[in-house]
Amino acid sequence: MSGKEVSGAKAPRRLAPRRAVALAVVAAAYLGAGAWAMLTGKSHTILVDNKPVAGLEAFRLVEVTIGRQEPLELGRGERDKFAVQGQSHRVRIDLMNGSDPVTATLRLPYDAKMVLVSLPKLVAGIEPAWEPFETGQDAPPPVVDELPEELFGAAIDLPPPEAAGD
Amino acid sequence: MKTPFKLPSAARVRRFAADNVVVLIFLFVTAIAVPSSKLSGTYIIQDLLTRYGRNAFLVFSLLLPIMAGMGINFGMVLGAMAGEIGLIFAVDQGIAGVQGLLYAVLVGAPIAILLGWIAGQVLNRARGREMVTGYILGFFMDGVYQFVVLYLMGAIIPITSKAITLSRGYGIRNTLGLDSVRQSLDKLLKLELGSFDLPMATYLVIALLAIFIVWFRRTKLGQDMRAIGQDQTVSHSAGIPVERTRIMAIVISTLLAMVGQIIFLQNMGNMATYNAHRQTGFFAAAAILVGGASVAKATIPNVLVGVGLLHLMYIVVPPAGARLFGSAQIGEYFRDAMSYAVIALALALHAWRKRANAESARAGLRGAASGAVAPAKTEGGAE
Amino acid sequence: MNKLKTAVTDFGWPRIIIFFFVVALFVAAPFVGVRVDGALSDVLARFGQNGILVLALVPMVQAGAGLNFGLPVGIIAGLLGGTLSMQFGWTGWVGFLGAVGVSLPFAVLFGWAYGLLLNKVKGEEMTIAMYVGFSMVTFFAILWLLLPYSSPNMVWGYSGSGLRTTITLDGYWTKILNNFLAVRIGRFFVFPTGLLAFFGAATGTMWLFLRSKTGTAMTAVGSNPDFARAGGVSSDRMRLVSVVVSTVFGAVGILVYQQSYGFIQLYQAPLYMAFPAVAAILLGGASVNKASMVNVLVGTFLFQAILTMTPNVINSVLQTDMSEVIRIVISNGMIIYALTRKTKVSK
Repeated sequence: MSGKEVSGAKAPRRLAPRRAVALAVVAAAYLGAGAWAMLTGKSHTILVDNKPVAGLEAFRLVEVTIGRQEPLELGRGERDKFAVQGQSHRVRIDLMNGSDPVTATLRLPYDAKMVLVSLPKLVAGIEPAWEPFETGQDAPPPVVDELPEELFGAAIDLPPPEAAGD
Repeated sequence: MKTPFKLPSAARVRRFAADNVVVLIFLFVTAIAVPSSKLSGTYIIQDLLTRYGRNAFLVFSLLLPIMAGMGINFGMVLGAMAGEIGLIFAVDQGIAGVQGLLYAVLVGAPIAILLGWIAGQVLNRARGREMVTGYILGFFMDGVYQFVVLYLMGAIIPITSKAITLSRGYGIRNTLGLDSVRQSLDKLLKLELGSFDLPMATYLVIALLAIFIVWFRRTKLGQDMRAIGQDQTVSHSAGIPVERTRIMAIVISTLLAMVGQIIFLQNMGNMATYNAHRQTGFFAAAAILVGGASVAKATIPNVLVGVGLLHLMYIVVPPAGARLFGSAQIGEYFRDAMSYAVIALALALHAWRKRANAESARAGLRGAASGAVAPAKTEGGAE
Repeated sequence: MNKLKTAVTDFGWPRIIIFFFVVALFVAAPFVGVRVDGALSDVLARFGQNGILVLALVPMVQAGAGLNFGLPVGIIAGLLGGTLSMQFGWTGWVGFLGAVGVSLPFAVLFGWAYGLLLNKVKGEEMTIAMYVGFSMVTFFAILWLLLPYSSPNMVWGYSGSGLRTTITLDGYWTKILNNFLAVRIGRFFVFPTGLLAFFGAATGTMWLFLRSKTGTAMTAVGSNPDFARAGGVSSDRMRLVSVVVSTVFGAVGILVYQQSYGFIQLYQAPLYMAFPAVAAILLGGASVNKASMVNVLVGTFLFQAILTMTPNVINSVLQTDMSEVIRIVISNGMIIYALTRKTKVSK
C-alpha cells in the first residue's frame, strides 16, 4: 500500500492525464473495433429472384455475382441465395445475351436477416429492388431439447438408470 | 542457460532427470504409443499442427499467475465462460467471420475482467491454497454461468434468435453451432506447405501473445509480479502493492483465457454450451506441467513443449490402446489417467522440493545444501 | 447482544442463511403440495446414505491434513470390495459384510500409500489430494475393463468381459440396511432404522477413536504440531493414521451409499464424489482444520435436506428446475467460504 502512495506522491499531476488519455484511447479502440466488427461482420442472406414482378418480365437466363463470390446461374422463375456480410454490396448481372453486364449497388438495413432481391427490378433500376423476407421459421424446430448434464456426476439424485444392459 | 556445453557427468544426468522426471515419464509413454498406434507420421503432424493453433493460447494464459507465485490458475475456466458468453452473443447477433470472433472478444472482455477481479479478490483471501480455491471457484461460477445462460438468457437478457434458444422460450440450447465463425481465424491466412495446412493467422496471434508476455515481464507490473512470486513479505516492505498486483495477474490471465477459449471453439466449430469449459483448466494445467513447468516457474518453451507432448499423447494413445488391448476406450481412460497423474506428480514434486528446501534451510545447512536444490527456487522464468 | 453477534460471526453468515433457507423450504412445502412426511423420510434415508462419506473427512481435518478431496481413493477400495463380493456370489448380509471385509485391506493399503505421499507434500495437500483422487479413479477405470471379472450379472453381455458402468445390486444386498427393522408410519414416512443405526455406530466409533490415545495425539498434531513434536508425538505417523482411517471410512461409506442407492457405479462416477461430502461437513460448521461429529451430523442433514427439498419446492414455486444451479452454488460457495476464512494461513 505504502508503495502506491510513494509513487503517487511523486507525480500525481503528471500521471493523472496520462491515465485519462490511455483510458480514452482504450475506450475509443473498444468502440471502434466493436463498430467495425458489427458493421462488416453482420451476416445477411440475399435471395436472388428471377421471376416476373410488377409488370416486368423474368430473364431467360441470367448470371448473378455478388462481390467476389462465385457467380450463380438462374433460369426463368428460379431463385437462389448468397450469404454475405456487411450492408453494401455490388451486384453484377449478366443477361447472357451479348449485352454488357448490369452492375448495381445494394444497400441493406443492418437488421435485415434475409432479403429477397428481384433481378428484373434491379436491372430496371426500380428502387427498392429488395424486400424483407420472412421465413416464418428461421431454423428447423429442435427435435429434442437437451438439458445440461449434472456436474457432480450422477451420484446424487438422478433416478437410477436402467441397469445398463448391453 | 548460458552454461557452456560439457560432457554430462553422472551427477548432472541424475539432476537433469530429477528436474524433468515428469517430462521424461511422459516422453517414455508416448514413445511406446507412437509406433503401436500405427498412425502415419503425416497424420500425426497435421493433427499436432491443428491442435497447436487450437490450444496454445489457452495454455499461455497460465503463465502470469505462476510468475506471481499464485500457482496454476485453475480459475481460468472463468475466462473460458466469458468467451463462451461472447460467442453466444456473436452467434445470436449474426456477426460472422473474424469480425464475429472480435465481437465475441469485445463482449467477453468486460465479463472476463469482472470475473477475474472477483477471482483475484477471493484468491487474496485464500493465500497458500490458491490452486484448490481456484478450482472450486470454477465449479461455483459454473453454477452461476448455468443460471445466466439457462435461465436468464432469453428471459431477461434479450436473445433474438429462436434457433439457439430452447423451445420453452428461454435458455440456450445444449449445443451451439458456430457455423458463422467456424475456423474463420484458422482460414484467414492458410499456408499450404507440402501436404500440411498451417493456420498462420492463429499462429500469428499466438506469437503476438508470446511477444506480449516477454515484453510484459520487463514492465513495472511484470517486475512486481516476479518479485511477489519470489517473496511476498519482502515485496510488501519494498512498497509493491501485493494484493493489487496479484489481482492484476488473475485479471490478465482470465482475459487471455477468454480469448483462448474463443480461438479453441472457433476451431472446434461447435460449442457444448454447458460443458465446453469444464475440462479447460485441466487440459491447460496438464499441458504446461508436461512441458516441464512447475507451480512456481513456467516459461514460454514450457508451454510450447507441453502442448506438443500432451497432444501427441492424446492423438496416439487411443489407437495404441485399441491395438494393444483391443479397446480404444482403454486408451482414452489411460490418457486421462496419465494427465491427472502428471498434474498430481508435478504438484507433489514441487511441494516435496519446497519442503526439502525449507527443512535443509532450517537445519542450518545453508551453504552446500541450498545450492544443490537450487532449481526449485522460485524464479519468474529466464529471459 | 454482542455475544450473539460473536456467535453469529463464528458460525458464519452463509451457514445461517442456508439454515433458514432449509427451514423455509420445510415451511413452504405443504403450501405447494409437497408432503412434509414424505420429504422428511427421503431426507433421513439420504442422511444415512451419505453420512459415512462425510464422516470419513473428520480424521484428516483433525490431523491438519486438510479436507480430503482424495476421498475417491477410499471409494475405489469400497468398489473393489463390492465388486469382488458380487463376483464371489455372496448375497444378503454375507454379501454386504463380505464387501466391507474385502474392501478393508485394500483401503488400508491404498490409504497407507496415499498417506505417505501426503506426508511428503505438507501444506499443499488439498490440490494434490484432488488430483491423486482423479488419477486413481481414471486408472481404475482401465482396471474395471481389464480385471478378470466373470459374473454375468456384472460384465458386459456381448463381450463377456469388462464391468458395466452401472451394476444393479438387486438379488445381492439392495437396501439391506435401509430395510433392516425399518418402521413405516403412515403411507409416506419410513424410518430407516438399520441404516441410521449403522451410521450411528460408525459415528460412535469415530467419536471413540478421536478420544483414544491415538486420536488425541492426532488432534494434537493438527492443532499444534510444534507442541506435539515436543511431546514426542510423530507428526508423520499420526497423519498417516488419519489418512488410513479416512480411507477406510470412505470405503465403508461408499458401500453403505450403494446398498441404499441399489447400484454400484463404476468408471467416472466416483470422480467428483468428494465434493458433496466436503460441502456437507463445511455446511455443518467445520473449518479446514477443525471438525467434529456435530459438524458431520448437522451438515449432512442440512445438505441432504437442500438436495431433497429444492427440486420439489422450488420447482413448484418457479415452475422450472433450478435445483441443479442452487446445489452447485450452495455447495461450492460453502467450500470457497471455508477456504477463504482466515485461519492459520500465514500472510
